[in-house]
Amino acid sequence: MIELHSVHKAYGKRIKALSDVSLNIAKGEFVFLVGPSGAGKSTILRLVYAAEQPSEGHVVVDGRRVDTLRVASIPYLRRNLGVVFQDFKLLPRKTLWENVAFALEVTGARPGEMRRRVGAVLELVGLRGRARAYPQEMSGGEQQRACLARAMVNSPKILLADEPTGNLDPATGTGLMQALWDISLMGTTVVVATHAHSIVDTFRCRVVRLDRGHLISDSVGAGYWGPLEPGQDGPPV
Amino acid sequence: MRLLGYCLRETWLGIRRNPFLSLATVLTAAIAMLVLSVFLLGAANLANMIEFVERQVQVSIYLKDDVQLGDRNAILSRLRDLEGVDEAVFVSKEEALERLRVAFGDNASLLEGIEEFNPLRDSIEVRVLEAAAVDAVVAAVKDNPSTDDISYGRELVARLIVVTRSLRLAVLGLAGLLGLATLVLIQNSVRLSVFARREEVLIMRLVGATDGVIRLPFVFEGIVLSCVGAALAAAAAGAGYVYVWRFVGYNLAFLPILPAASVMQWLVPAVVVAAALIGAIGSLLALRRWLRE
Repeated sequence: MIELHSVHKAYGKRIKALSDVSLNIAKGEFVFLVGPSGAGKSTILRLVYAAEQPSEGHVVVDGRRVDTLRVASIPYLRRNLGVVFQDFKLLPRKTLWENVAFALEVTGARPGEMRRRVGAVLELVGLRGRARAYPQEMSGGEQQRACLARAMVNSPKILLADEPTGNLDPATGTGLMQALWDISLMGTTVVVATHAHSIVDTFRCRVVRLDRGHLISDSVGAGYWGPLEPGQDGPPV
Repeated sequence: MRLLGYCLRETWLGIRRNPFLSLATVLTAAIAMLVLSVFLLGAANLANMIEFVERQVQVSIYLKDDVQLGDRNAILSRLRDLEGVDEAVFVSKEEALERLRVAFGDNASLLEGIEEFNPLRDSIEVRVLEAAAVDAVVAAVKDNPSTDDISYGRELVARLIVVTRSLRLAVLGLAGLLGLATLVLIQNSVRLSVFARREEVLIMRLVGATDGVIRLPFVFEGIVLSCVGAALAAAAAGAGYVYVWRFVGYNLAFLPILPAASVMQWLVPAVVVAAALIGAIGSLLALRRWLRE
């Protein structure tokens, strides 16, 4: 579903965000991208939703080369992707319902279709009763689930989440991650960039660890730090 | 169609949600378009005056005494066929003497005695639409055997041609510069409006809205606000012009000022269409940065 082939990404001559990263994520997989700030996690997500182009190598999403995609085709790629951000990015002047419907409205969905889908996705994230609330009237956890609902309303094949629990307390964060996990069980590929150890360790799924643009480890079930090798930094004692 | 409805709804919401910004854009457009309107009114009257002066240019072709009626008519019809010629009329020497008598007024008695052997000549008087047509008139009759002499203010005509050309170029150049300044002003106003809604633009891009759908509400907003500003400007310029027109009509009647009604007929649509174009282009330019990523 997502393939990175020897991808390099540099900003100018000095800053290297990614160095020779190759990665293959299958349909329906749940993957954590972990590592400290500046490791290149967000860059990978931005390459997938075509907000950035690789400096070298190529990126394939759902069978299509993203790096050679025409600018006019990018919106159509994004309709198959859902993106969740740490800072929610909800529109303060729209209600929860309007915020979620917005994603369908701007792509020309029929009103009936819109009502059906928004209702279903609010049900899925457990916010059906809050449809008329404005973002500022909602808690952090509710806002993040609203953001998740907006990302899911198009029934995307891939869901990308960039530090989705960064602004949430641990319990709420775990609840949100459970919702993402449930979504992946329905066949959606989910990629979560995070540096929240405890949550990653709880889920015991595939973890891709990055550090300063290099892929350090790619393991299943080994938790945040992955299988340790001599010379690599390990978990704090 | 659904998307067009969405875009129109968003345009209205965009204007309503940022009332101060919208008002600022309308006022900016109004001031810029008022300057443009005043300039256009001045330019139109200048062009009218140039035309008026050019119409005063007259070529007198004096004919030999023995010219036959057929030859005279041939010259007349040839002149009337020339481009830039307003009218060509024959003036007999008797008519010329009568004019002289009128011109002399109380001193007409001085002309007594010359009526029997009228020394004046038959002539053809040609009025042109623009000074540049004089050369063609002269060339058409210069070598005609019936022509005795041609009289026109050669130097005056040459100077007039240079002055009118320079004035027309200057007017065009200034209008272009003013248009550009208006564009920059409106673009800056719309840029503020886009900046206020950058999150919305970002989300639209993320959820797969095409650039066209993102642009249209802003373009409509730019057009609507600029046009409202332009309508205000045209109304103010029109009211001012009616006042000036009346003043000139009463006090400076010799000045050839264009009538207010005919001026407003083209000024209002011209300014509104210009504002719509400038609003649309300004919005597109303002959005460029937010659509690049």
